[in-house]
Amino acid sequence: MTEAIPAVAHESAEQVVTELYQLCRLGLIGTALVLTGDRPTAEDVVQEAFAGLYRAMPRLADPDKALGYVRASVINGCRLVHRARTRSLRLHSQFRSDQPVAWSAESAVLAREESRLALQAVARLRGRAREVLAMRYLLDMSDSEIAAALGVSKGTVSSTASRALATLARTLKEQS
Amino acid sequence: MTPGELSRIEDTLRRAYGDVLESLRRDGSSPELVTGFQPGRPGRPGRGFGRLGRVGSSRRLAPVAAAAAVAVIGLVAGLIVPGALWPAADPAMQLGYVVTTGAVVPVDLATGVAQPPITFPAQGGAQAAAITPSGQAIYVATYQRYLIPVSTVTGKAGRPIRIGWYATQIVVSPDGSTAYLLEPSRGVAVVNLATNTAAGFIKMPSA
Repeated sequence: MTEAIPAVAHESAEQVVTELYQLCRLGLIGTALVLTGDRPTAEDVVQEAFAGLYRAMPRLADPDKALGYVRASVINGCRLVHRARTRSLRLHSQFRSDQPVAWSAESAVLAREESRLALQAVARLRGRAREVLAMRYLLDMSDSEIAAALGVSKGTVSSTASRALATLARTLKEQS
Repeated sequence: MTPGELSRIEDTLRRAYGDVLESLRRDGSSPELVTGFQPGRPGRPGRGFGRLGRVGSSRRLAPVAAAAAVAVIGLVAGLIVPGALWPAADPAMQLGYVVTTGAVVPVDLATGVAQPPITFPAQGGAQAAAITPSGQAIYVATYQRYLIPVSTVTGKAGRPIRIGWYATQIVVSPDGSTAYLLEPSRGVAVVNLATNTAAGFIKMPSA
């Protein structure tokens, strides 16, 4: 998903953010949904990311980097959600055996059982692996773009994706 | 993993993610984009200050409903501030305040009109807030473990105070000299509001 960035020369920050939102909201909400497991939270994360972009626009030297900025903000927002949940679970350790999974059948009504199983398997991966897979296969970002968004090397992205795919294949094979 | 297996798992993943997007498309409702602040009027909700919100959504207002000051804020017919997290009111009950992720919105309780927001550095988002008994300042704890003083007199946010403590609740002493920040798993941080410095910590006994 490589969206064309709105031209900024004659547009206000508000117009740029609005147009970018119209172009990218679905993919970003989908990514946040996959990473957080519930839609209201996913929408909140994306909202916060765009609000942050709106505030940052005057400081962004290159407005063409807006998409990269907002993608990275969404990933960071999802991490904050996970940290908050983990902290809450630690506080209420008696509920640990009943902790909510990151993805459930209620998260979205999916047409295919195969998809549901795949997303449940993805939800059991480590955070970085889930982020890399979502960015690569949902947002169609290149490994270089993912590396820039996550602040890691391209090699790390590649090896993380490779290990995550192998784990997924093994999990799905065991289930079938 | 063989190239064939890799290709199959990649296809499965793409289909699964495609189904997620399809389910979002089917559902249709996407949050409305709201940027810029539009003060509310009686019968017409306030909007914005950079948040994207479903204006009128009650989800974010739930904490307001649970708080004591809801009786005050609730009198303001039709005023809905997207992203509202905490309500407060000055002792004279002339102004109410709604604290959101990155701003304090004063509300004229007589007319129900929201005034321009006092913004503060969001620092990952506000986590808790409290107003001093005099009503002259609101203290907001942020996710990045700072406490931000917001003066309701000058309408400006002060320099963030580094606490290093993730507060979920704040209480200000009756004389307004001290704030107590609760982090349930660790204890209470004590902040001297005269000097705006962290004054110490009260550790909780381990459970």
